[in-house]
Amino acid sequence: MQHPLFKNQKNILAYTIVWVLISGIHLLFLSQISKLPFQIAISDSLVSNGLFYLLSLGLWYVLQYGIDNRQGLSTTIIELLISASVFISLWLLMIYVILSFITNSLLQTNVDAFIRSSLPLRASIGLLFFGLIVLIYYLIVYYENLRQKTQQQTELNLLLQESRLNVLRSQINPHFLFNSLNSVSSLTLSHPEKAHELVIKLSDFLRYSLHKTDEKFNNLEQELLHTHQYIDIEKVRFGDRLIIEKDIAKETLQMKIPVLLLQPLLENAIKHGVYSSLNNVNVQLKTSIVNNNLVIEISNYFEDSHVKPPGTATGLANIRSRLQLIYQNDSLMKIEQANQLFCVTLTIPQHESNHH
Amino acid sequence: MKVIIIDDEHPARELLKNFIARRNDMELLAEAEDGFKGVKLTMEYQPDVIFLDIQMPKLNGFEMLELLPSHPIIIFTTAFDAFAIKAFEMHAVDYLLKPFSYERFNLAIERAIERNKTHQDENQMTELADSYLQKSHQHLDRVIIKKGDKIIIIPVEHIIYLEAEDDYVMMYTQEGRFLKEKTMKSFEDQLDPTQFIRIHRSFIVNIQQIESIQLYEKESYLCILKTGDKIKASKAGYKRLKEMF
Repeated sequence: MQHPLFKNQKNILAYTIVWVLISGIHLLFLSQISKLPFQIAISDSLVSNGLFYLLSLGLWYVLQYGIDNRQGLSTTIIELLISASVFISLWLLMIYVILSFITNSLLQTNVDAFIRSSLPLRASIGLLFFGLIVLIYYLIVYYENLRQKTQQQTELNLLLQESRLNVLRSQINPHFLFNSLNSVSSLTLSHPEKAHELVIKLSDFLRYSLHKTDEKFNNLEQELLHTHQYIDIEKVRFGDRLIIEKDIAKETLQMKIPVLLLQPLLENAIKHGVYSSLNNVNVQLKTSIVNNNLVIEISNYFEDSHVKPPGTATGLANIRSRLQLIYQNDSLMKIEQANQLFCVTLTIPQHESNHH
Repeated sequence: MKVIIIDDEHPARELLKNFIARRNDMELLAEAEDGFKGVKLTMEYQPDVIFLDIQMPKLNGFEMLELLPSHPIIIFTTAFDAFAIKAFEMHAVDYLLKPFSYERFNLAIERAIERNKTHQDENQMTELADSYLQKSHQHLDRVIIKKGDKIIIIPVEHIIYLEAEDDYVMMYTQEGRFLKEKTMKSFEDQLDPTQFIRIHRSFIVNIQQIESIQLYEKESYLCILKTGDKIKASKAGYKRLKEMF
């Protein structure tokens, strides 16, 4: 941390004003109550407070680098007391030397006895000021920490928002969107009624994708509805080639699932199926309850194992990392591939994650 | 001008058909919903212009073009492919971004008519495919071969080694030997350099297939493959191999 007094001119000015005031009080005390001659009183006040003013500037470094707060309270207190005695002894010694030099050689008066007798009082006042400075130091440190924490929190929130945005971006695949718009443009010329229908479906699909990103969970029924809108749109593009078989257990409909998880999985399966085969594309969707968890299986047949449609691997990786983020468990998604059947199984815990 | 359409999506084909029908200088010969049928139709009808989608089942648009002995004018139609657009722009082949207007379609046709008069450079197509791979930072993952009427897809992992044969490359693969009209340089650029090494002016080898390397003559080496084949490695090729291990 930077020295707070050197951070800006205002702070050093305030610090100086405080010491000028203290010097004034000191002067008043010596001349009015102790009845010392004015010249001596002003020398005493300026020397004592000037020295404290300068010495305590360096105190910041002692506190920041010399004292280790991590060693426990008692060690810190002992270290502070040692610093205080060294600091005050040094201060008093300097007062004595400088003040007696000034009074003896310049003012031709000997006040050594007065200085010596006032040492205990000076030491107590010095200790008080020392304590105050230490207190202010710890207040500043505490405030700085608090500020940093708030800043970190803000940054974290920003990151979270950004990742939500990325989820959204990966949700709506531009290839899908533009191909669908192309279908709309074609249908407006040949089958305006169908074009109308497709625009409505596309709008419903986009509305869900855009709005649901604020929410974390939805029930399976809603997610299935959104997925069906997607399938209907794809059916316009791929026609009878696309065959979706569903086996949805009724009791799973009200179960919870992270939003916008199902549709990308189905999109993956459809892409994988469509681009690896010239024939019909068969995609199966099955839900069940196993050990109170919602289990979703999505499988598709593929013909050619060497066709990798672009983006499918990243799509699956995205879903895996989302599940990992939400449930802190990386074994919730399983991918199996055998006999031209590609199968993704999701296990969705129903008790909300304990980590959020 | 005689035209064929190759696109896997029915509405996309319908739209093109509608636009083509509006012009009296164009005649639609046929349409295909995949690259295999596309190759067949192109050979059969010899069209002047092909409207070609890029993302299609099994064979993509670029791979389909590789199989054609001669190229008509190609107008690509694609929905969203930033890499493809960059590749097209470099090689000045026209492309239609879906969805597109009738005006934009007409512009592409005007360009095609212009190109038809001047005759286009055929090499552009291989350059285009090369630059597409480069722009998308991908490596070649399969090679398409035409043998008689059959189209064979060979994953690059199945390649054992490649040998230069004049303007062709002989591919030795797990599926057998195939001659491919492509240059060694082009293979060298497109294959994953961590898997395939050009060990000689005439040879590119799959490093997974190497059994051992022997000194053959002064300054030249012999690469013994797991299949028992022996191929020559030059001094520079040997150095490249050594850097890999």
